[in-house]
Amino acid sequence: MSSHREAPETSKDPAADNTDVYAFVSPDRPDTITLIANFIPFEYPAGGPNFYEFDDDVLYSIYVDNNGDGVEDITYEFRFTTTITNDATFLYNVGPIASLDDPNFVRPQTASVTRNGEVIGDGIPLAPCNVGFRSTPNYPDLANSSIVELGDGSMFFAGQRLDGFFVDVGSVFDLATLRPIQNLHLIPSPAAPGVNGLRGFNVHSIALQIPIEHLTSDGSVPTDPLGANAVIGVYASASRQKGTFQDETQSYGEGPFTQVSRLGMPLVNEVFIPMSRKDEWNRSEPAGDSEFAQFTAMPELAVLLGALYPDVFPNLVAYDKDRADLLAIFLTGIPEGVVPGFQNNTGTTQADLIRLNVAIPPTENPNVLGLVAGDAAGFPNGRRVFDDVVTVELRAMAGLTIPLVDPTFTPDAPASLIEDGSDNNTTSYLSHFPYLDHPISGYDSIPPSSSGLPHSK
Amino acid sequence: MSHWSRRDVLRITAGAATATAIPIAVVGVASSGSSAAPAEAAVAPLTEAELEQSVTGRVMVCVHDARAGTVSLLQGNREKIIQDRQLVARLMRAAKA
Repeated sequence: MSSHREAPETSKDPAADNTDVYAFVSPDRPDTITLIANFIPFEYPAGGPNFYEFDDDVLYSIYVDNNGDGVEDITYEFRFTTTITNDATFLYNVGPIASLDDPNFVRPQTASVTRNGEVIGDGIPLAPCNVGFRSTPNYPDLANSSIVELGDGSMFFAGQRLDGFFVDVGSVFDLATLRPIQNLHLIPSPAAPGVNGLRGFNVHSIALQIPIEHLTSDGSVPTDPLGANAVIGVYASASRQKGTFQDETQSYGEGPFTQVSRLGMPLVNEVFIPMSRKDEWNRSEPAGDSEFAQFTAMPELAVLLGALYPDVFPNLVAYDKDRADLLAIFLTGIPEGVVPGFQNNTGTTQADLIRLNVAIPPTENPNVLGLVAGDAAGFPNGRRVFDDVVTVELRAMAGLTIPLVDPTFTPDAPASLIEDGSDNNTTSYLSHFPYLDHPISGYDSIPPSSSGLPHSK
Repeated sequence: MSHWSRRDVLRITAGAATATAIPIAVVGVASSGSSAAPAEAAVAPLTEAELEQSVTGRVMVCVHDARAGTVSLLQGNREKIIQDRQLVARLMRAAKA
């Protein structure tokens, strides 16, 4: 969740596991768009001495489709190069790391960035992982010093961050349990608050802050939300070379890069796509997502809600039409006329993309429930780092959004109330680029309890 | 203080094994061309110039379907697919030998 360990193959390849993608108009620089792609799920901060890093052998990409065909028009590619500066130590650092070029940093990485094949950044030093106050003192200053301006005027950051996503992952994958209403579950237990299963874990982020006119189809800064040029679609991916050879002492790749992970909207591959086809989905292109649309039109989770919470969702259980609401939200965008003054529709091509209407300015009073709570600057109009996408998607899945396209349907009362119970108070964010907070250090991290929570029987 | 990239370290550690193991396939590829492969006996050894080129890169050869006679050659960031039943035959027999 939202795409952490979401498919069998990527769960075994964390450096190429794209966990979250964010796209939003930058709140403090509204003339720019911020795009973030996260990788490496569940980084336990104390996981040394070989701390987490981007893989030199992975091609990381962020794509923008600005003409609605589901095919990228703008491609940002990122490669990383790892260096060993001291061949006599087992340590990640041999003293405090005070700067990005500090010789105490044994295993530094640099990044290169291209836009549509043109190099716009090269040899960019990355900050280390947050090891602890002895090894990485003044971590915020150290990390902030790695933010650079690229050759095209965009800002760039890559490195470790606190995972801003929140979900009760331990509960939802225990037969779709929602702790706040688990008393109504087929296997009941007393209702309880949700638990953010990602609390205290880090992740690796690639973040760009790009002038709006660099991303729109006509090079303009749209001001009319209903204009076709106002909507962009975003997804990210990780690719590995086709051939990998393992000999006695090394592994290496040959051949063109082939996509092994992709992600646009949160939870699509995680929840909609059956396990038997998740790896295939990861290797496919968004423009071909009509191949998988049946799983959005008739989502398994909606059926499970009816089955696992008996008598709670009778109207949802009785609804046997294709879910046109979900098809719009996830695969084509919301057309004009559904929400007054708003659209993020990209036409008829079904593609898993985060669709952002760049003409909607950021708000000073954001609502974590985004568009369904009247905040058009939030999910599913793009996705901000703090948006509660799990609650929004759960409620949509439970039928709350069906009346937007089918006024004859009356949602079950719990559909507007259900949640997994996790919230963004269990994580933190920055008010400026790259918006995801500095990572928790290994020294300061608290291991999960060996006893765990009582299961409240 | 030395500055080695990760790939440098791996290559240094690997030594000559890499450079000698893969060109076995390169020999067949470089001399067979596309569709009109010469008989095995007629294949000339790589010239010094060709060897100089081959040791700086590696080629992975993959035969997905011997019946189709298609060989996928992976080198650098490229994939070249060739149709060569004689090359496929040589590779398959060599693999079984």
